[in-house]
Amino acid sequence: MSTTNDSNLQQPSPEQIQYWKELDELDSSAFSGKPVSDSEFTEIVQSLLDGSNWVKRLDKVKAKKQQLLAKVAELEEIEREIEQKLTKSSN
Amino acid sequence: MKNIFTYINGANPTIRRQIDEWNTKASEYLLSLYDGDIERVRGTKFGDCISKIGYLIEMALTDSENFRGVSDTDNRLQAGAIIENRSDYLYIDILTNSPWNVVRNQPETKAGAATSLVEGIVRESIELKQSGIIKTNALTRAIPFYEKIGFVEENGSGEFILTETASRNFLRTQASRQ
Repeated sequence: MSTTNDSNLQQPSPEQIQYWKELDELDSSAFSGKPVSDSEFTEIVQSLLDGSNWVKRLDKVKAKKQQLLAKVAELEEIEREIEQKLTKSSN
Repeated sequence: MKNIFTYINGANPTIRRQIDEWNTKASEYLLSLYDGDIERVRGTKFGDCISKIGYLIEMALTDSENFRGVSDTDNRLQAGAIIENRSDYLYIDILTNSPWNVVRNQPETKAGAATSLVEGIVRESIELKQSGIIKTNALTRAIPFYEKIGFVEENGSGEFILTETASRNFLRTQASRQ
């Protein structure tokens, strides 16, 4: 009588092991996006070295905050207008 | 043995702080491994990584809902991406590993993070009824990685696609690796 060993059936093949090994090797080279020019690259690295990347980041955060505050102000104005209309129509 | 990662959908303040940590770490490696020499970094894998981290930081702020990433069992962010939902497929706009996975052999290094991130994006595409179809513009250095997963270049355009069949094969292969 023969028996089947399930654990043997689930053993990965040498090809699979080789595939995963190669994929793990390549994993650290996974990059997507637009390539940067030489001058852009110099600027990026330079800003990392002198810390100016944090200043640029802060500027962007402030710009984004201003944008959102402007949006909130716009929504508040719309809110007031609607409330006024509702008040008028109920009178 | 495969490392375990958790798929992250969206960049909250904790994730943004972790990407900032990548930036700090990248500055440290720049000094300790390359003596702060720009020319030594240019054209290297690490150079590709730092050029993508800057964009990732920016996009995680302005486009936080499109951030995707994977973290390890210590909740450390190991790879990140910005994706776009283009109705029929998901497009990977930016993707990079963490700096310690690029320079490797660091205490934080975990192999397989980018692969796991692509796997998560494929699963998301399936949930969105897009049949697991993914497209991306791979940097030259990354082409062998994407081809290994099953991506093929579309008409020499530089844009790579993972088709429905290829995504199914990729998920099957990943599932068999435990």
